[in-house]
Amino acid sequence: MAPTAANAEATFTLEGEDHTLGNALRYVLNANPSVTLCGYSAPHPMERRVNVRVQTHGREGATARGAMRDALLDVISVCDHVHESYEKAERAVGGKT
Amino acid sequence: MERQTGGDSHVSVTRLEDQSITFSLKGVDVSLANALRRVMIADVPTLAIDLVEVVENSSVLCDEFLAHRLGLIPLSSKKVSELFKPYEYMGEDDSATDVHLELNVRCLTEQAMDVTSEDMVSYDERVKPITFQGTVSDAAKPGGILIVKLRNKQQLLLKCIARKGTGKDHAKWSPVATAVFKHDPVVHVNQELLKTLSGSDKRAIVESDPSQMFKYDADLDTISLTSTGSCTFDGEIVKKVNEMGKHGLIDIRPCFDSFTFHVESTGVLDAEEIVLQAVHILQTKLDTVGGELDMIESENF
Repeated sequence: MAPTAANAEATFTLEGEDHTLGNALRYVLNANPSVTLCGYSAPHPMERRVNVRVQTHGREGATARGAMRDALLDVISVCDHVHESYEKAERAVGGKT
Repeated sequence: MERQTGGDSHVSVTRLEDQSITFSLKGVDVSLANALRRVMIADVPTLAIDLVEVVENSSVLCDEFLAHRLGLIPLSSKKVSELFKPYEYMGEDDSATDVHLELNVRCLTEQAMDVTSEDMVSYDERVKPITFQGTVSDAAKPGGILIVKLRNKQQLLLKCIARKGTGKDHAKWSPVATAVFKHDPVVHVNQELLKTLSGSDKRAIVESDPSQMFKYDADLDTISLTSTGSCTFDGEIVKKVNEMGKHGLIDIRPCFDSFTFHVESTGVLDAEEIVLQAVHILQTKLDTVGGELDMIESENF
């Protein structure tokens, strides 16, 4: 990862990742009101890399890295919740048919 | 700030078998549902034959043809968590990455013989080719996967090495035969408008739906929703209603935060395990990015 601009905006390059992570992060970042622009692209289908562009309004100490961190934690917590409710649902079904 | 923490997300399992699972996932965005699907296909590690040493091959198929076929045979992958991918392991111990299998057959009969995955000998108890179990209703016979047929005196001696990998390396490592999700439908029936229709019209509407989501109750002279699971968003029923001039009688549209997943395993791992691992792998990916972010920050401040 290499943020290329000052605090309020950055481009993150995620090496070894693809649309799986790029699109999920893009969605969560766009849901953050201090993010003014967020988009991602996979520059070439054979290179395993995505670029995630994040621009924030920069007010109230909003930074692109902060937004990215929030996004990551958000998706992790969604996953946690899905994990929990999946196991609960599995137990509710009570074994295989 | 509108934060999606998944607090309102919900999972319920509709059907659970060894090799398939159907579950519904509610309260998350498509991007997350799709991430989960993609991880199941391309990032859940399994075992597959990756290297074949051909000692003897007098069959009709050439060496690389056989090697390719062997690669595609599903191997039970419970052991996969104890192994390393070859390009991630720097040590000297081959047993940390490799599982050996052997195929040694010779046709001694006048009749041609089938060589199947059941003829393979594994040096590890827990790594075995998956054989089709068959069910009562299946027309296909249970048995191994056909690799090649041998004529009299033809022989095969192949030494195979199975390794850990993921679907993004090669599709042979993908643990799933099917991993799909679809939007659940939101069905709205305008009851007022429905009352203006005759019984035969109502029946015609029910019959116009190829996914058979509705049923007509003759006693109450009404139509009711039976199940939404079969919905394909084909638009046929809406077309029928519009033809009758009853615009807006029935409205079916996809719900954007409610999905039905259907996952079928190739047999290498249990379906429930694949989903569970996919969630875990997705989190690990995010954690890795988070860790990198920490490193950048510590360098700059």
